[in-house]
Amino acid sequence: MLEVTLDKSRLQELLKLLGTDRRLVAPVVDRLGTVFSEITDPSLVCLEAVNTNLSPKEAVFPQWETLYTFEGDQVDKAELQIEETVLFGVRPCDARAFELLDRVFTWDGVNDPYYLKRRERTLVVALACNAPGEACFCTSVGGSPASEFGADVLGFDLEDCLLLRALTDRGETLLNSASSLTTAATEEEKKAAQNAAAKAEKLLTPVAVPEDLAALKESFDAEMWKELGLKCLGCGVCAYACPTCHCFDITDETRKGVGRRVRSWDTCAFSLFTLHGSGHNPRTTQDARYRQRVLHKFLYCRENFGEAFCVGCGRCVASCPAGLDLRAVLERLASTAKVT
Amino acid sequence: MSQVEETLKKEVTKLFEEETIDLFVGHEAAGVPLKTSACFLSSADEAKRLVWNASCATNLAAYLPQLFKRPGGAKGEWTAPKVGVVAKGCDSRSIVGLIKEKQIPRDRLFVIGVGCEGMIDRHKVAGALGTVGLAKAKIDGGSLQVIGTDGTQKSVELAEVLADSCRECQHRTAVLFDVDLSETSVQVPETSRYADVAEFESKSPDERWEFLVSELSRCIRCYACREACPNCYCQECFADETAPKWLGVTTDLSDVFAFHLGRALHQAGRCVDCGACVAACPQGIDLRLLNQKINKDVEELFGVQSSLSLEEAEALLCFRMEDDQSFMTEP
Repeated sequence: MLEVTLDKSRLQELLKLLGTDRRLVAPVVDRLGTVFSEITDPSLVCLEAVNTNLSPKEAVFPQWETLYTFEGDQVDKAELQIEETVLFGVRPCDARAFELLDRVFTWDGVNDPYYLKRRERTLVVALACNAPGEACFCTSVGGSPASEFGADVLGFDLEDCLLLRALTDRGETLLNSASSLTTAATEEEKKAAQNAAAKAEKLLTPVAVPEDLAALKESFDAEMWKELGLKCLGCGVCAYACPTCHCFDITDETRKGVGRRVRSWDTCAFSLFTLHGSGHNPRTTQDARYRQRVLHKFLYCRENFGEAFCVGCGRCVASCPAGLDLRAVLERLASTAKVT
Repeated sequence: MSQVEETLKKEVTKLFEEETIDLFVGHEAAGVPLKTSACFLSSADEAKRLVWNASCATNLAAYLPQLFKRPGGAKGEWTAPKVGVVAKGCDSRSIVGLIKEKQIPRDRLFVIGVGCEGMIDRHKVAGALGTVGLAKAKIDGGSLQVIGTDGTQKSVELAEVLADSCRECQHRTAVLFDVDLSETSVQVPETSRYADVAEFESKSPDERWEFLVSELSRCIRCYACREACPNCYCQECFADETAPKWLGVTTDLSDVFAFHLGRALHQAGRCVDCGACVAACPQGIDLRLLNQKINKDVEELFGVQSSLSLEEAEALLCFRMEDDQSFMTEP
């Protein structure tokens, strides 16, 4: 496994090199903290960003995209043009989310060409965390501050330098292309990286996550959803900030026979999400919608993909305008076999 | 615990014990600092969950209409519950508005008024902390002590992190209440109510356009602003209608503008400047400006502010001979 060290004084050069002939997307400082943004000036890249305001899933699963255009019954399925992209400074939880999204968009042999093309053309340079963010709980859901899932390169911030570890062939090629800027990592540096990750792991507050799927199934009729449903405002903040939420809607926008088919993010929190053409809505109340979000992540995804679809980034907790705390809901679901 | 919080808990306990209410809507602590959550209490012993502090920014009026809706499947006679609610000035104005628009019944409502010296805007605290998250916060007199997730400590002036609406607020005690717990010390600040709008109005059309584009291009169409707003109770929002479809689903400027301008116009003569939309927005968009501009226009044209009392007619819900008619032009 290739491991190299980059002196931080040469970071700008590395970013410039990564952005040559590619789109470079990395965290920059924004009014509420940090956001992923296309980089034209590498000096703006912020290595300290822990959890960006929104997750970087937009890079592989944009908020909306035109699937194709049409005129009358003539469909124009133009070849999807996707620029090669380097996502730099992705935190390990968000990188792991890409690995989970891959499973959805290739589920049961059905490959989503739009997602996969973006994913293929996106290189993920992750950055291990030295300190947790506001509501982080990655270790409670199978992640870690130095998780390697979903990334091509994993970096460690060691004060004066970055240790960069290639995780895939593509990652190795990327690091080799920057070999003029780096040196082989020393044993001491490798040890320092390990220590930093271990230290960060200790700073996290563990959350009890329900493991008993039968008990989760039984929770379906629990009273607790009623109060949670009353609190939940029914907006889309949690799902849109979430790195693993992947539900979408498909809409045709037509004017005088000319139009486009658009795919856009959607969320189970919206009442419109399950509204049938007949007018019937199987999820009439917000408690049913909120329950769906929690059980989809922690029950149905486990049944379908073998893993909970939560990477513990805590964005839903930090940004919920109603003050709902998924961690507390999980603790409640985990604390008793029979949830009330 | 503040004096008001203690009195509030006692008052709510009493209301349950005397069977004045079946349900109480208040604020309780949430999982992260400077955030609270609406809570729904159904017995006296739950009153201890209540909190009252500078992070109770949620406008609880937004939660009320759903409580008075006849539940699906209810057969025969159904009586709405008697609901108690704690209300700061803006919440109480929203309650007045909702009563007038017949979304909640006055006779099934028990309002506990509280005085408010302004609520903390969490976005401003996040901005002050920069790249790190907020781990702990404590109000200490006129300042806010914050500790970041990386251990950095900072002290910020409380006044600096108050919500913009709170800074210009002229109604710091409830305008409608059954019990009033506001203290005599609650002062109305001597600020212009429309300073922010005046600054916007002084800009050139190009600058205004630029400002609106820079703000609204941040929108992710999550509708948190709409859901947190007490005035947005429509069974079916124009933004959700599919036949006809008034606007597209994208984050293109045209779709985003159609939503926000449509929402702002639906607020004309109704917005109480509670700041709930601003607090709810995960993208930190200055959603207040559009509404305040319309509030200012309504006040200048009709000489009234919205929802100050149950008696006074609302500007856009009545016709008066002396109403300004200068907008009419020859055909």
